[in-house]
Amino acid sequence: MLNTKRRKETDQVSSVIPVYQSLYSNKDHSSDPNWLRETRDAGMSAFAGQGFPSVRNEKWKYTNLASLSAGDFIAVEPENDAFKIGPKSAWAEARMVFVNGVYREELSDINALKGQVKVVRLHHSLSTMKDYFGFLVDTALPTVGLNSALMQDGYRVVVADKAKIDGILELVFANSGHKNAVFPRNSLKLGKGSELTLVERHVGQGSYFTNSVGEVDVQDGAKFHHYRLQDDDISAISLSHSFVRVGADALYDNFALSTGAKLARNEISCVIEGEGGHLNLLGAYLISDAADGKGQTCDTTTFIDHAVANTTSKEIYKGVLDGRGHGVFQGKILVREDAQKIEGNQLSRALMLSDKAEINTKPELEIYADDVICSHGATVGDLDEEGLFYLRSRGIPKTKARALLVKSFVGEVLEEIHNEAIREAFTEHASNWLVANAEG
Amino acid sequence: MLKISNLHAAIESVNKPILKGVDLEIGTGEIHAIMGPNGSGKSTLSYVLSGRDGYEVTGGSVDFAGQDLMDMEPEERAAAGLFLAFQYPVEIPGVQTMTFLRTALNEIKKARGEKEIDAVGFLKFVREKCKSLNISDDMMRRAVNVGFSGGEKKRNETLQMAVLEPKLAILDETDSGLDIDALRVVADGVNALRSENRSMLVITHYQRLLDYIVPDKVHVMANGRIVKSGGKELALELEEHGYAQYEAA
Repeated sequence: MLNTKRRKETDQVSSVIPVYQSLYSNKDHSSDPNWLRETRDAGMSAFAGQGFPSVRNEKWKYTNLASLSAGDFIAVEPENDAFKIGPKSAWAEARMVFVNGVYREELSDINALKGQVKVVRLHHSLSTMKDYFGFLVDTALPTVGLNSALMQDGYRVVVADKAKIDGILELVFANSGHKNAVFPRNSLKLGKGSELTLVERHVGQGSYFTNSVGEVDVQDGAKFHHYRLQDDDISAISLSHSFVRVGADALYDNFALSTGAKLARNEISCVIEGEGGHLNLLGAYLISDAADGKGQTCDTTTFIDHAVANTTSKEIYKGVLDGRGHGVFQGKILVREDAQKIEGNQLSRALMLSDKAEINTKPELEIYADDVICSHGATVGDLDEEGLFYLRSRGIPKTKARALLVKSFVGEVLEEIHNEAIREAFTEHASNWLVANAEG
Repeated sequence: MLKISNLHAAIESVNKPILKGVDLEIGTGEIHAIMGPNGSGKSTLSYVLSGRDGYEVTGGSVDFAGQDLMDMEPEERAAAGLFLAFQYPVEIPGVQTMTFLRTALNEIKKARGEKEIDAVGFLKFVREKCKSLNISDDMMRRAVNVGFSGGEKKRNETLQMAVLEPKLAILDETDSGLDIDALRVVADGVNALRSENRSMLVITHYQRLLDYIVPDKVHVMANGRIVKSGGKELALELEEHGYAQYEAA
């Protein structure tokens, strides 16, 4: 019985590989310089050697990509791009819009930041990026390799040394269509002492597969506030893997709010390479049933490498799980030998609103230095009955009291958002989710 | 105002009877005290009256201002004018006291078909209440009870009572966890809320609270029943002789 099942899985894994291989070989890469073709080849062979990771892969134990392995999402050319993109968000100074993975100039507006920061579509600069492309990215990982092989567009943002950018840059990734796959690739460099706030919004309509990879280099003394709103269609699969390098006295401040996708994985791999470097990995996810009646899966997987002494990291993720929602948190903190005076705090908290919801948490500390303060905590709980009764005894009806408690649970981490306008926008998004889901 | 007749109640999970025929009647504007040893059912009575989950009413009735209290949800009881000051007020992280109180007041107003109060109007209203109770309005900006001292928590209960203006307030072991100074401050607050339209039921183990909040009547509860009733002098008698004679019964 077990053997039959195993063989079937293996068959599925291998069946999808030739599909992507032919997709890759049918593309015209003649304009790519040699180094880029080598990168793509390496990515493709990494993917071809492994296929999509199965649940037997320790890093993917709780998140099942069987539908990708079965070849559900393969047609790269989208059928349509009918998804309506609204105007630029009120808080945004400039924005870039990518529809089904391709930059759309007529929907974008980057003039306001011209002269302050270099904002270009990756497609145009890719062939000239040899010296600083892909140096943080681990192309040997199958999903990352697949992105390297098939990437065509994304954003490239470069902030000059000491440039402090006040205006917020908005990046919209909109997808639509049926069973199509897109592979956005993003690259960011913050020069020494610079500062930038950037918001990614992932939206869409339909059952698409997006597999994005990002590379973030925060150089010495720079501050980067990186916010991400994942509001993909609840039929979609949304994978994202960011590779981040933090220099001396630099700050990488990441907040991810996720409510969308049938299956989402937000993976962040960070190395703090300079003393005084600090990292914030923060986020909230609110999930329930997916379009197919099964639960949404939201996977947050992080890796923090404290490579040098005197570095700090703070990690807080909060999940609200209703219906058959399935949350996954895997957080690893590595403190290297001689990396003394480290402070790393990690917290994962999940609030279960339904007895059908499920959460898997796997915190991991790997510490080789001795003068280190590291903590990790994981809690899973129902709504506080005492709190609920307290509110009701003051006249607040049950549904409203529940919503207030859930809001306060998520509010604790939303408060950590540094930028006020974004904090409000994200709080509103979470509140809207609660009105639509948890209050009923 | 409140008429409890032959009330029986049990803890649901273990099916253990706690209240075994409580009879009590409180008139409008009266202050009654219930005293009794630990485990006599005092706090259970307050929970059953306010509608907490986990207790099953197995007999008897409670009439509150003409309504059958036992048929109502906790929020409906609050809207009808019942207020429980908790022995252990609950911490609610992430909810500002101001938001909490305004939501509560407006929900009660909504349930009564009254006009809701806007943010500005509420701010003015609550500042006056704080001032009359000698409470700094800094408390209003903090999350409900989070990081509050024992005294602050009980003062917050008093403030909530002042804002919600109940017909009947049940004070459950208000003196627990308070030193004498904090007790005096809280008692002053409660006394400021005494009125001829407001009844109170003070539940306490010790007589000392009743030095500050002087009741019209005192009842002794033991083994799930009211075993003796009298005037305020009964409290002094209990202080002197203890509960032993009642527990034996």
